[in-house]
Amino acid sequence: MVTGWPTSEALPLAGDGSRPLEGDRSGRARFALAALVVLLVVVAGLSLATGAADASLGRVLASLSGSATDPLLLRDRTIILEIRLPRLLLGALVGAGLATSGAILQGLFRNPLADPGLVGVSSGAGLAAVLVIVLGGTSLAPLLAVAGIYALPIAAFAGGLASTFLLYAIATRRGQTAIATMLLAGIALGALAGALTGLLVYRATDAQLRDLTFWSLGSLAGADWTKVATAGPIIVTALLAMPFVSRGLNALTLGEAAAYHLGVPVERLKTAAIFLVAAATGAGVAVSGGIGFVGIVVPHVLRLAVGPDHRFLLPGSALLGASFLIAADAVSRSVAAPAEVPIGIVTAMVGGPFFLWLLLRRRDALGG
Amino acid sequence: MFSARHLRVDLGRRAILAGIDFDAEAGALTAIVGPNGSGKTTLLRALSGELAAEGEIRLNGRDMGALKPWQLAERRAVLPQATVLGFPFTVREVVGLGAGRRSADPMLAERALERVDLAHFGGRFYQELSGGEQQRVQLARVLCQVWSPAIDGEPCWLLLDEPVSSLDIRHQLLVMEIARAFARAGGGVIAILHDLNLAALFADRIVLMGRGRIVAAGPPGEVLEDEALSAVFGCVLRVGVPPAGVPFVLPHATQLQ
Repeated sequence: MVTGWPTSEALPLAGDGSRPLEGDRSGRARFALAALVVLLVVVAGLSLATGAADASLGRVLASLSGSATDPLLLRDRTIILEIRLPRLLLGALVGAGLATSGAILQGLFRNPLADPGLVGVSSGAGLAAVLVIVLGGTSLAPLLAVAGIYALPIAAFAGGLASTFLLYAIATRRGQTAIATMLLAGIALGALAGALTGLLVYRATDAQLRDLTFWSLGSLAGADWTKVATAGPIIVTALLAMPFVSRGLNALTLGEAAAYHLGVPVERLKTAAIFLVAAATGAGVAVSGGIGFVGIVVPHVLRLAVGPDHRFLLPGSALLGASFLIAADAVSRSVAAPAEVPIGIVTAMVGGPFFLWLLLRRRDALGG
Repeated sequence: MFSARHLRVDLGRRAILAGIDFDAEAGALTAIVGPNGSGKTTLLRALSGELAAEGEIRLNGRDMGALKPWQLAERRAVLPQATVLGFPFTVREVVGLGAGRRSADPMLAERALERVDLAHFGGRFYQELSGGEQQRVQLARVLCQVWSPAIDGEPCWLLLDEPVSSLDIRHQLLVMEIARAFARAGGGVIAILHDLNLAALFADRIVLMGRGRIVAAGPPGEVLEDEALSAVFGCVLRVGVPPAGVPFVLPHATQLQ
C-alpha cells in the first residue's frame, strides 16, 4: 500500500488547471459575486427611477453636468438627490450590514439559524437607541453633547455589543453552542429589551413618541444625508474588516478546538466577530430601526448557491443584502401607494415563511 | 522531540492527569494505549496546546507556552476522534481548510484525498459520507496541514486521537501505514489506539496509561506483557509472541476479573 513518504515533486499532477476541480466552488463563487454586483447596480437604478413622484432619472442625470433653470427639472433633481439617493444609500448600507452580521453570527454560532433580529441583538441595540432618544435631553445630555449625531449609533453599537456578548455567554459552554438555548435566550433578551423600551415610552414626549414608533417597526422613511453620514462610516468600516475574519470563521466550522489546531487565535476571532456584528447591526438599527430577517434569508440563499466559504459568503451577503433591502424598500413604497408600508413588514413577510421552511427542513437535525 | 514534564490536569477537584513525564521521538510512531477514562485524550489535548495544563511541554525543544497558535499549526496537526461540521462543505473544501495559506497549490487537497483512498470524493458533501469516510477526510485535512514530515530538518508532528476507530480493516491498515511512513520520513507521530495488536504491529514505542498516570513506556515487546496489561485493563490478558517476534493479544483467552 503506502511505501515511503511522497514529496510534492514526486507526485503526478492530476489536472491541467483549466478544468475546475471536483468540489471546488470558488470559481462559481467568483462568478456569483460579479453577478451580484450587476444585480445591485440594476436594483439601485430601478429604485432611483421609481417612486411616488414621477421624477425622471434620465433628465436629472443629463442635467448634472450643466446648470438647470427649468423649475420642473429642479424639482426632479431635489427629489432624486435629496430624497431617493440618500434613501437608496441608507437601504444599501443597512441591508449590507444586517446580512453580513447574520452571516458572521451564524459562523460564530456554527448554526444557520442565528440572526441579529431573532436572537435579540437588534432589540438590545434598539433599547440603547431609545434610551438616547428619551433620556437624551435629561440624564444622558452630557453624552449627546460629546458625541453629537453619533450618540445614537454609538449607543446602539454598545447595546448590540452587550446583548451579543450576553447571548454568547449564555448559549455557549466549552465551545459548544446549544441552538435551543441560543434561540430561547434570544427571545428572552428580546422580550426584556422590548419591555424596557415600553417603559421608556411612558416617559417620552410627543415628538419623541413619533421617533419611537419608527424604531419598533423598522423603516427607511426618515432617510436623509445626515443618517447616511452617521451610519455609513461605521458600516463601511465593519464591511472592510470582514476579510480578516473569513478564514477564521471557515476553520471554526470544524469546531473551536480544530480551529485552534489549524492556527486560528480563537478567542481573538470570536471577540472580533462579536464587535463586527454589534457595529454593523447597531449602526443599522440606529438609523432604520429593527428590520428583521435580512440576516437569515440572504446568507442562506447564498450558501445554497456558492457554499459556506466565508471568503465569498461575507462579501456576497453584503451585496445581496443591499439589493434585497433596496428592493424591499421599493415594495414598501409602492404596495400601498401613496401611503408607505414600514419596510420591516415587507422583510418579515418574506423572512417569516422562509424561516419556517428552514426549520421544517432542519427538523430532524434539531431533534424536533 | 515532543516531551512533557510533571504534567498535571485537573477538572473540577479531580485530577485527570498527574505526574506525567512523556516523551515521543521524531522518526518514530508512539502509541498511547489504556482503558477508557485513563486520560489518553486529555494527554493528547494537553500536548496539542488546546488544554491548559500545569507542567512543561516542549515541542522540538521549544517551550510550547511561548508559541503562537499559527506557529504551532506549522509544526503539528491534530486529528480529533470525530468532527461534526456546522455548514455543508464539500469534501474538497474541508481538506482545503487544512492547506490554509498554501491553498494556492490546488492539487494538494487532491493528493491528500488520494492518499487516504478517497480520490474522486472531492465533490461529495462531507455530511453525506459514512463515519469512516469522514474520519479519512479529516486525516486528509490534517495531512494537508503538515504535508512535509520535516521542514528545514525540524520534524513536524501528527497527533492522532483514535485514527482508526471507525474504519474497516483495510483502511485501518492503510491509515497506520500512512502514519508509519510519515514517521519513517522524519516526522513524529503520536497516536491513541485501542487496538493493542495494531499498536504492537505499527508502534515503535508504546505508552501504557491507567488512571491518569503513565504505567509503562517502551518498545511493544516490553510494554505489552501479561501482568501490566491485566492490571491496567482489569481483566486477565495473555500476550502471545508468534515466530516473527511481534507480540499479540487475543481476546479468546481473556476472562473478566
